[in-house]
Amino acid sequence: MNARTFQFIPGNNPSMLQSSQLLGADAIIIDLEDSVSIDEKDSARKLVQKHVEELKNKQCMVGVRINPTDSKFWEDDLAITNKLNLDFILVPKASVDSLKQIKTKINKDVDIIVLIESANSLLDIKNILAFDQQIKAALFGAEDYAADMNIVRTSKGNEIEWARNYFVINCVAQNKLAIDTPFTDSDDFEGLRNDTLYVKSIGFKSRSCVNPRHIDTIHEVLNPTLEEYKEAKEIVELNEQFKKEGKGVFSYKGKMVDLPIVKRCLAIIDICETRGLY
Amino acid sequence: MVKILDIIKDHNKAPMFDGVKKIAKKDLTPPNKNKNAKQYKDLQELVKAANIKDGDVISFHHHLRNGDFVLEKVMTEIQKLGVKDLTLAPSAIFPTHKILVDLIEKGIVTKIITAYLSGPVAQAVSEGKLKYPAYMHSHGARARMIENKELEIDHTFIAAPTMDSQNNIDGTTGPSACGVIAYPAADAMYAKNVYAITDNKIDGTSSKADIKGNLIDGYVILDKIGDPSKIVSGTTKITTDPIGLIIAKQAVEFIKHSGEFKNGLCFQTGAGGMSLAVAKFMADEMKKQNIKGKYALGGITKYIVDMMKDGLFEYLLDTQCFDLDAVKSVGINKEHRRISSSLYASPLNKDAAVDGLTFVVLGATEIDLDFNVNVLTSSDGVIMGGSGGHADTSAGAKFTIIVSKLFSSRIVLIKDKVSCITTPGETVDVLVTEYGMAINPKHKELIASLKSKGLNIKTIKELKEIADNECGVPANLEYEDKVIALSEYRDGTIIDKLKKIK
Repeated sequence: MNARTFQFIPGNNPSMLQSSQLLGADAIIIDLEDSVSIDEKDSARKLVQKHVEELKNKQCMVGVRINPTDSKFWEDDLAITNKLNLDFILVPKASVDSLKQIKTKINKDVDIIVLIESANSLLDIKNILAFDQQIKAALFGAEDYAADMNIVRTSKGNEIEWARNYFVINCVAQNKLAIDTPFTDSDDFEGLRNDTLYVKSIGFKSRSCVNPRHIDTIHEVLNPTLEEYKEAKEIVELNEQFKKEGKGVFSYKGKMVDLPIVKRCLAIIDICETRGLY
Repeated sequence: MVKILDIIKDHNKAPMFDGVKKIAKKDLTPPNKNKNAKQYKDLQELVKAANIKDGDVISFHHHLRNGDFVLEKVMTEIQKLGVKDLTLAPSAIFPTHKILVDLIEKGIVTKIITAYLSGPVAQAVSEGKLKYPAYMHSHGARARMIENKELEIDHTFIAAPTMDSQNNIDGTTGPSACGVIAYPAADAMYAKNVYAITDNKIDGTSSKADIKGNLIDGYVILDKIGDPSKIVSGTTKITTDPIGLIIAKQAVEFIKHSGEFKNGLCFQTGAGGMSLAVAKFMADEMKKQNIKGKYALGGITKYIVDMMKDGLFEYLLDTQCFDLDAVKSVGINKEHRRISSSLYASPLNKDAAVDGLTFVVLGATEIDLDFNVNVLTSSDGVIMGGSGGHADTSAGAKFTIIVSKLFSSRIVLIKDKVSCITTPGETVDVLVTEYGMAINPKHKELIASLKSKGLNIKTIKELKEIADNECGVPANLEYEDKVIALSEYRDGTIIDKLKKIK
């Protein structure tokens, strides 16, 4: 799974659903959980079903956040989503136990993204990610995590620094996409940029958003730069030459280049070229 | 020469639009006036002295917008005279002018000539209550018809935010400051009787005058001529709607690749949230590419003022201030210049600023497959606006860019035929929506060029199909026979007639 942005769209909002494909996100998460009130769960399900069934000109990945297994809605959610051609299901309040329940009902062909949003689930992330091959990514829900921890969220994010690091390390270790929490200040674009630069520096390749105006900024930060792209291409070309000479390691601008670096460069080239960035 | 009043009385004799033609410029010399304005103790005395008769033509300007008190106060006094069959020619009508509904119903006002009609008066006209069809025109056309004597105004009442000791009128100062007073310039020069209504008579002379004191026959000082909170917006704001922002960015992509995005460009955009977003993104791009424009025109907002302050334009030509920052700027910045509506957009004026425009960004309530635009009615056929500067800027600009959502709550933008044409399609160059942009087929080479640069180009028919598939094809409106409004094109021909909805 490879997406820079996951945009949340309330499943009970027809006009937002209608325009969701135009927002420029790499993926949209149609939400049946927090943004839909209890008395609208059933109508939202019908709306989402209709929307996905009639979706033409799909521009990005489409997934649904179902309700958690400690609610009375999740099974009806899955009964609908199993009929739909979706790219993923986002499972909130993910735990090994909840995933065991989900696995009994969920379509086997759809990818699962787990939402890690409590102290317990963060500490058990290794087991959660390893639970099943259907799990392709994890999303860090910092707001609910902070509520569970009884701590205050700040724009600087010091209070979730350790959690973010622990989260992304576990995702990378198990080759799952790590998706960071949304930046919740709608109008602070400088804050968004700085925060995204930080999470990029610790290993995140992806971020969720609740405000579509954040998508472009997140993409600008997470995209490889033109210099990185050019450098990646040079390294890959040099690697091909040295391989022919039987050399698996070589020096580039004074630094050692071996297989992990080459793989990283190939990933950069792939991102840039499949997205037509440069 | 055909008189406007004759057309209104018998629109079957009106010259009909037959395509956009070159309009010969005219040297129009206003009559020489050297009046010495008399002060009246109150409006009642002034209106009595005006000697208003049945059938007279009375005008006002709309710079106080929905905060205007003057029209209502003056018409209240006029009503007491017992006159009837008046023609009202305000430059625009807002909800605050609802007194006119009663006057229309009583036959006191039987004709309306205006560039913009909204609120209860628009509703009344749409319901067919006005005896004769409303005559809807552009801002430039208003200047034309007055200066060319197609419309002769008997009495004009000019709301004057400040009058100095020489009776010069300045719109940028005073408790009811509204910025530039452009629209009544022609009225002041050509009307038989010119009256000023002020709430700020000052000693000394104002450094800038919108209307010269020697044009004024009489004036009265009131406590208040308007509600400042409704005259100009505190601040105009860029849209935060993500779809509006996407459309605005696409509009700037078109501008960038149009071949005309270079030094010396001239630009106008509206005051709506999406139009301001276009201004912002265009400013970013101008800074990136180190482009300096010649002038921005309008309809001026803080965003346009900031573009000038950032060095992106040499000067601004202002015909109307939309927010307090624009009002402040025109009062203090030398290069923020005031112009009359004639200099702004009259088709007869050889110096009309619209003729120098490179890009204009406009809206639309409807557009058809021939790119004809409707800004007079909403999709239910009820009047809610008017051309304003739409037809003028479209005619003058090298590129007319319509920005709009393709549909909103199942109301589609593109129709087979619009309810009422205000701007002919041959002057519209591109429609930019969130689903792509449709370029007027006359630009064959440009279409090919933009496609090769990866812009999302569709035909207008393709965009219509997308909308119809999403929303369903709307039912056609049904009309009665009664014509309730005439849509004049800026050359004086009638481009469309609007009938009453069944």
